[in-house]
Amino acid sequence: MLDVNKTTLQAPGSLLKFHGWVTIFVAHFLAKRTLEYHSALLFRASPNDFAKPEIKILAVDSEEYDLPSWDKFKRVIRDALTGLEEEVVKQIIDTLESKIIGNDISVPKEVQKGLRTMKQVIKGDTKTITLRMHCEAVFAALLEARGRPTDIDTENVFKTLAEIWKVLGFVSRYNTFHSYFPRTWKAI
Amino acid sequence: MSRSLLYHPRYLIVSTSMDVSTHEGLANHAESVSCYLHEYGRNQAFRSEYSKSFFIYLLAASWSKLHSRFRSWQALGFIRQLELSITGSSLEKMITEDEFQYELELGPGDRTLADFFSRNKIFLLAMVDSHCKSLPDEVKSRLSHLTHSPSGSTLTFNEFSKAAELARKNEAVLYTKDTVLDFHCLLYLSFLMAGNALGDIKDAHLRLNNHNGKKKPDVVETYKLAIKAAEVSIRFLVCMLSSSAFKSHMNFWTDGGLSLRHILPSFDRKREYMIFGKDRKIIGSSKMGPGPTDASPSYENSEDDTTEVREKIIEAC
Repeated sequence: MLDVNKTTLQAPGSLLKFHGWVTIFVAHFLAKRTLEYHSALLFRASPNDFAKPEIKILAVDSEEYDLPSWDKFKRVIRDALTGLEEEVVKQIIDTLESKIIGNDISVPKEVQKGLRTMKQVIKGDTKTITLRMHCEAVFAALLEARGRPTDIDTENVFKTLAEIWKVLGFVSRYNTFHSYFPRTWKAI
Repeated sequence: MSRSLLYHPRYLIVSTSMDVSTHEGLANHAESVSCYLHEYGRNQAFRSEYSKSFFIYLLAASWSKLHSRFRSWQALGFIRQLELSITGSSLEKMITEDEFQYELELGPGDRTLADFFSRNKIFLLAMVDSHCKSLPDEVKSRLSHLTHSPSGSTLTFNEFSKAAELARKNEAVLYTKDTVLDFHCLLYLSFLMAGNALGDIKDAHLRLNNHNGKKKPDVVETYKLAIKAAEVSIRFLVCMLSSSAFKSHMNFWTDGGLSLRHILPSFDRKREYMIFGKDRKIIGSSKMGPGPTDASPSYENSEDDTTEVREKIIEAC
């Protein structure tokens, strides 16, 4: 069945990624299973030292970034098109500029916001942009940082990263609660 | 009332006002998870009971995120592809033409799936039957044909049922040439049932907040029931997706990944997927945006991490 002429895909890697994507739909429940497994394992290993796990919460705020000028954007485009003649590059940049400014293109709604921002960049109307990092990207970066060999202890890695990302609140050690009853929940 | 309900009320409560977007709400949630893991670890005799309760709690806490993933065009595109493989003849052809290779032993998650299916078979088949009623005749008839069920009657999944019973006793593998078609149909139906169940919770939640801030007892009860009703569907999907049989099936369906590109959702077909999602009731009936038939579509759409992953897959291709 395998037809070498059909495609040159990096098949196994792609399939693995796709499998990972599909399981995102039930990620919460897979995480539950994993945590339960480790909880049972830890208790079995040392029942007397078994304590409540500490859960750290990192909150990441939006941040204002400087927007590069349109001239800088043009320089990047020129650098990327070094193989082309200057006249062609100029035509590409002019077309891009006129399409964005003139609303001359029909695009899906989710692209329009990006185009609005680009229009402001071209006109020089705005110098900054407010963006927020994706929580899962931040979490992945934390795990990545944690896995790297470092002289700094883990706690410091977390604190440093938290500082870098202008963390709003570094809330930890919630195991000081004395009651199991919720403090603020409005239960049914 | 069970002992666990009296003893550990925090994570056994389905709250209508759970809000993890605030610092305090998130802290409470973290505390609940921490309490649960501690109690789960140290009370071996009650693990099953606690786990069931926490599943409902987790569903109540995360249904909104799950639903936003399900109604994304990427997810709807994938479910659409599952359905298209049923209405087309590609799967049957692959089984006939290919040398089917399967694992000789049960893989991780297979026995859990077999056990769940066997234990809940009557309930699952009744749910399948109920969902099938709203499917187009073409899909219904193909489902009957592929699962060797008499046309017009309840789908039986006899091949998969037999394999599941044997797999429970460790006497046979779950994913074989005989069970491929049943497995594919069950995979499609598990996505459909989970999507429908999440859509129902969304509808119930919208009604919950539609009474000037006052929560009417009957509406609250409907919301709670919608969450509890979703449990079996979501559990089934979890079992399906975490089984080794699913990995084997993806491998078979995509020809070892070589034809993966053909089943990847395509942005160009977004409109088609959204109409499909509405027709299959995955997008809740109380939806919050212009309908798919509007001239300029503007769906409530979640552009989440699925986009990024898809791009990576295409890049890898």
